[in-house]
Formats: sequence, C-alpha cells, structure tokens
Amino acid sequence: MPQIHIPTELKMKILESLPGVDIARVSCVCSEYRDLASDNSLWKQKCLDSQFQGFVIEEEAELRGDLVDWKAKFVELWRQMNTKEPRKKRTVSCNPNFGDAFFHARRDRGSAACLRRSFGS
Amino acid sequence: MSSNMIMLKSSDGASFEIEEAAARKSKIIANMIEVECVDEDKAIPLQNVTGNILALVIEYCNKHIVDDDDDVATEEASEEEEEAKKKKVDDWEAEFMNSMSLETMFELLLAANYLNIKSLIDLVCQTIANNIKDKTPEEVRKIFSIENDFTPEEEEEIRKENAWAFG
Repeated sequence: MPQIHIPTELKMKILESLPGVDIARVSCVCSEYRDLASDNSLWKQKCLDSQFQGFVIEEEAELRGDLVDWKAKFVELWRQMNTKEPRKKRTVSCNPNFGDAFFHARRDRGSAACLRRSFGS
Repeated sequence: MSSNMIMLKSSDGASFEIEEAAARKSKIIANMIEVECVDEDKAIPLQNVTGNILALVIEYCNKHIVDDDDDVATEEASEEEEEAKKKKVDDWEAEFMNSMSLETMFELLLAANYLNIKSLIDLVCQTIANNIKDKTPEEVRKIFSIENDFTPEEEEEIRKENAWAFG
C-alpha cells in the first residue's frame, strides 16, 4: 500500500481483518505481503476465529514447545469445509463416559475441547 | 466539566476547537491532558496530521462521544434498542468511510495511529480489508498500485502454495 507508506504493524492489522482465504490470495501480490502473510500467529488467529472451536491438541503441542504449522491447519479445515461431498457431521457431546481415547480423536477436536472445558483437564 | 474545549492545530496551520471529552478518544491527547500539558489558551500542535484529515478525525470523535453519552443515559435500554443504536452507529461509520478515497483512508489510518485512537484504527483497517476481500492478486495490485516484484519462479511457487484459495 505503497502510494502512502504505512508501518508494518498497520499492514499486519489490515491482514488480520481479512478472512484466511483472502490472506492467502494477498500473499500472491508481492514479496512484502508474501512475507507478512507467512506469520504463524496470524494463521493461529484465523484458526481460532474460525467456526471450528477447540484447538486443544494444537495449543497443548505449542505449550510443550512443538511448532504448529497453523496455516497448514487452516488449509486442512478450509478444505474440509469446502469439499463438495457431504461430510460427516461433527458431533459435539459432553458425555464424560467417552473415555480418554476420545481426547485424542483428531476429527473431534470440538468435542474434546467441550469436554475439557466442562470437566477441566 | 466535560464541556471544556481544547484547540488542536494541524500540520498546515488549521486550528480546530474540540470538546475535551471528544479529544480524549485520542490516547495521546488524553495523556497530555492528564499530565497537564495542555494550556487552555494554546492549541496542541499535531505535526503529522493535515487539516483535511484532522477534520475527519474530529468528526469521528464527535460522533462517538455523543454515542457514549447515550450509553450512559439509557443504561437500561432493551436489547432491541441496543441493537438499533448499534445499527445506527454502523450505518454512520459505513457512510463516513464510504465518503472518502482510498488514499484518504490511508492518511486517516496514519493519523488514527499517531493519535492512538484504537476504534478508528480498527474501523479503517476493516474498511481497507473489505476493499481487498474477494479480489484476485492482480486486482489488489491495481487498486493499491503495488508492483509485482516476484520472479516468475517465485510467483509460480507462491501461487502453487496457495492454489487452494483460488478455487
């Protein structure tokens, strides 16, 4: 946004105000935007803002010091949302009898988050 | 008490009188008032803001100070009333932003940043983002006069990486 020079923090703020799919498109505009749009925390925010709730597994991995590729995560979710074939409904249940294995079910992050919120972790 | 008037002076020498309560929307000016840097007879010089942009900033602050007063007066307003009021503010903001060119928007953003008016920064960033939304990279380059500085190889790579977004 070149005719007027604006500081990087404001450019980031504009990117933050965009949906993830538009951030991906903007990254193809020029090298500056490609670099700004590769910010991992920007994509983390887009994941957390999305209608999928509960990134418990990813957030715990981050707390352990593991690197989470949030953009890859976002793209995965975006693809799930936009596939043409009917998807399995993501059930959200707060039944505590599901057992520990349930916490690690990748497809059911939402439910795991729900359980953890209800019963603590 | 809140009807104290403050003078602001733009970089190009234009003076504006503004209610203290409205001027306090700017954290910078609010801080100046707190530490009593503001001399009632003297205008606060704003070296990074031109008169035409400062007029927009003041219009925004005045509008929002009125809204804040309303909030206090109708604390027990029903949800419907709250919603109607919020819609009124949203409509005003949409019209306010609609009235200016992209270049003015960027200048307003810089001024809001300099004066530290968070809600105005948010509003302008969101409006600029709305101008980018659903556009192709080529369209974005054109709108914002951005030069494509990728090598053909780089461009191919980044387009491939983000092919999912061009469905």
